[in-house]
Amino acid sequence: MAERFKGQKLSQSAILGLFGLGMFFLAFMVYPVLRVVWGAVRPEGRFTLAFFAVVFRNPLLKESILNSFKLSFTTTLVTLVVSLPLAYVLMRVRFAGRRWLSALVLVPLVMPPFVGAIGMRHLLARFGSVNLLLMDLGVIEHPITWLASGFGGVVVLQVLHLYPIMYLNLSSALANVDPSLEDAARNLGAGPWRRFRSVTLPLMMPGVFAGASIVFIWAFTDLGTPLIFGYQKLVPIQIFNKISEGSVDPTGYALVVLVLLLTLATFLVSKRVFSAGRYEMMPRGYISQQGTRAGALGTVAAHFCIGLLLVVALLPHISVVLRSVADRWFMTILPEKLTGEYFSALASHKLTASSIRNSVFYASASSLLDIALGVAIAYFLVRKMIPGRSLLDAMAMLPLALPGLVLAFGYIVAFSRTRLLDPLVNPVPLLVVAYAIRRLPFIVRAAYAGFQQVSPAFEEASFNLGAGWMQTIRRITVPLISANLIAGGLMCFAFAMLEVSASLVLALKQRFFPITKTIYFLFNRIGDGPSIASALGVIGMVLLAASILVSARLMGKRMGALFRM
Amino acid sequence: MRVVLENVSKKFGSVLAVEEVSFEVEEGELFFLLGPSGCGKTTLLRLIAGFISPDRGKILFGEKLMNEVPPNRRNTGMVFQNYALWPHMTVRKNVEYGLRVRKIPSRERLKAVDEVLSLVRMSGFGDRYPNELSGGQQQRVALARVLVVRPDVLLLDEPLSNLDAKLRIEMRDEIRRIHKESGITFVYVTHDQKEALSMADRIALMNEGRIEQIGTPRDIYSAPKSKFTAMFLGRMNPIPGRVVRVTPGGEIVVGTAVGEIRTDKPVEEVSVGEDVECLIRPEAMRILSEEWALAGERNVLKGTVVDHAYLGEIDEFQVQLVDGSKVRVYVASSESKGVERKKEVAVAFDVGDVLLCKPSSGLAGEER
Repeated sequence: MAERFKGQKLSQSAILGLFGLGMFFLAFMVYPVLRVVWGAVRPEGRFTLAFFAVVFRNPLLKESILNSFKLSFTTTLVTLVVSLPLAYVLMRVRFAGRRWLSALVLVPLVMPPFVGAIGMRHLLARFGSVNLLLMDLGVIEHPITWLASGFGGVVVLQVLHLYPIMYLNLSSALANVDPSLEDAARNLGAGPWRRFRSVTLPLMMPGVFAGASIVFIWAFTDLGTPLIFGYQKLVPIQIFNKISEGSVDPTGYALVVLVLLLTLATFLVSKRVFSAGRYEMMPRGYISQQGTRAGALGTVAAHFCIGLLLVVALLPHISVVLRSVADRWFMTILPEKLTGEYFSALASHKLTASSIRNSVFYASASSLLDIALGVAIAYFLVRKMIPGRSLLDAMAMLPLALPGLVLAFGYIVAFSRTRLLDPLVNPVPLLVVAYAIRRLPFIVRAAYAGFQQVSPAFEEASFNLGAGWMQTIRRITVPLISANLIAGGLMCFAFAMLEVSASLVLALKQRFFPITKTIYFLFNRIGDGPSIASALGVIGMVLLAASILVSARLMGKRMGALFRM
Repeated sequence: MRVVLENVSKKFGSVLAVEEVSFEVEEGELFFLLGPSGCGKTTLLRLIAGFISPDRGKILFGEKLMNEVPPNRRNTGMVFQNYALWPHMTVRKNVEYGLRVRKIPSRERLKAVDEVLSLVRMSGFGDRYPNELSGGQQQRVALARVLVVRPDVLLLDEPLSNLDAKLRIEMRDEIRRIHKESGITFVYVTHDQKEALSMADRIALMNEGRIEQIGTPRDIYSAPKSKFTAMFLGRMNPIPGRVVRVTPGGEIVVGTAVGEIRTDKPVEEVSVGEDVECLIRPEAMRILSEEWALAGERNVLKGTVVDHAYLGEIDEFQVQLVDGSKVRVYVASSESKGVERKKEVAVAFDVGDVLLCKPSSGLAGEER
């Protein structure tokens, strides 16, 4: 395929487009990150690593780093433990309702853990629904303290949110394992456990690493969930506090650089392991009948276990929904009386109304930007033999390893007190760009897949009839890949609506608050604050769910591809 | 429009796809690029269309140098192998596209599209989508889409290869008709020699990135200038031997294991004592089963019929010669009576029907 494009010369507009992309990445990814690194190693014009040492000597920061590692390792491990049997059962065992369950297990992915945390805190409070229920049932006599430090709560929410990502990676890895390899082991006398351990699992390792690295990075850099639980001694929160206090010292820079190094290293290691350990599977011309059929008991067991997982995963969000309509919900398992007061408060309350408007605007603008960037990047990657192709590819995928927190921190550092883009004056352009960059890999992949499905002859036919580059893209290419673009764009929209870290860091004035920052703000307000925050969370979830549903319809089976490494 | 290529070369990486190709296509000609797959014919077509640009050499339309002109400014019309009809547009929208690009007002557009659709006999299909059409219909729409802009050159890349055998033959006539009626210069790429021989004004036969021979179908078939050309078109019976002498009349006498063969048509320069190969087409051979018929024949080989296939219009016989080698002979079905398996016969052919070349030259001498 590449062969046929080798002789192509780049037109002027193509060169201009490439230049624009390069400038964009330079200005909004490379430069801010370099500024952060610079601030850490050359704070006074002299090169020094002293501030990294300070980070490790400071008892609070040291503890935070340890906690962050503990948290992300625990989350990754638990996620793996939950997802492995899930993927195996759903991929290799046939039972009634399997297809439904395979789709349903993905639902928690689209439920924002940040919002879930609010519900979870309510459920697991000292006199929250869970303790009250258990006391009613006579299981316990005194309320249990579930959320002593917040660690457990954060892990549970992260796992419940992230296991679908792991599951998607594992199941695609499993789908690539030729069942005949397992049959060969069986033929040689290996039992089911031994087969899994010695054949299936080793062949799945690329998927395990890919999933684990995404989960690890996500858990390590998650700001919203621990913030709601008030679990302060974590790296992201320490960074956030430094920014909020407006006292960013070289130690803060060093901390951010450490996070960046860690995520980059994780990303690269996983990529390396992924490709080096990529086992060439023999192509098979047929799809073999996969897996064994479960008996009635097995079917019931599978439904029960997966159903339980789903209920637990969605319980925090259900609690948020209840909270948003609960007139009184105190010392009872379920709310005593319902009210629409908080939802009407959303409309009348100046801050909430403007934050919904803000979020819709930011998210729409960023998804449009994403679509434009994604189409351009994917076009160059698929259709043109350009110098520096792999660099462009790396730039487009880098946001996977670039936590929102780091990016937002970089923007604060790089653009504060500049004339045009000062986040203190007007954070809107930076928020839009930050959202767009964070989701760029999704849309690039969606567009990339689209371009690969569209034969280049369609475009050549248009050139041949006299159309230029822009006209061809607009009239031929984009309509042909529109399903992919809309799906990818909606994904970007949905995630931008509930993006936490960049929003918390960059939106500093109330009138620029997006939904997430308003939720956080209201949650900390005494009185009806948490209830209104819950109502706002419900609005966010509804918007999110709607866009994901439409997107899934458009993408069909290709949906899963968006979440893999 | 005349299309001229001068010493055009194109490399892909280290692979030389097209090497020092020169030819001129006359105004209104139906010109064929024929050759086995991988010979560079499609690359040439894409060079003319401008999707790729040559490393060396010139491409001219008329007097104008086209090398640096982008594909959308060349006013060529390309018919792609798989048609490349845009699936999200109706037939009318597809055909209209080039006119829209050229900012033709809608009234004229409507008229031009109607005309061209009737030219390709697709009137009434304007509102269909490409996936609602058969292969032959898609083919016609692809033709209409480029014809409507009145291109200076029409480029066809294996346009019939996706059609079934019967439709392919119908479309040959159809394309010839459209060529005649439009008067446009056509450059047509194919690997199908029957297509090229039956349709072309002239053919450029290509091999490994070079042009082997350019000429009318008759020239190329009956007077090949290289062994490759001889072997590529039709079938050949190769008989190895050595040049014994040259007669005063200019006939070359070749001694072979099956007897002397005389020829006056050396494809390459040969000298006495040299190892050579005689190439004779199956349809140039006659089977003589009666002793008396041999009188006056110069090239006569004795043998036994070992196989026979009835092909409708002709009969194909395999005759085993005295050294055990076999030749293939085509005989018109009306004249094949009495010739049957195991019968001892003589195979005869004219001096002018024997091509002589060196055994090593040209493409590996596999029989086609």
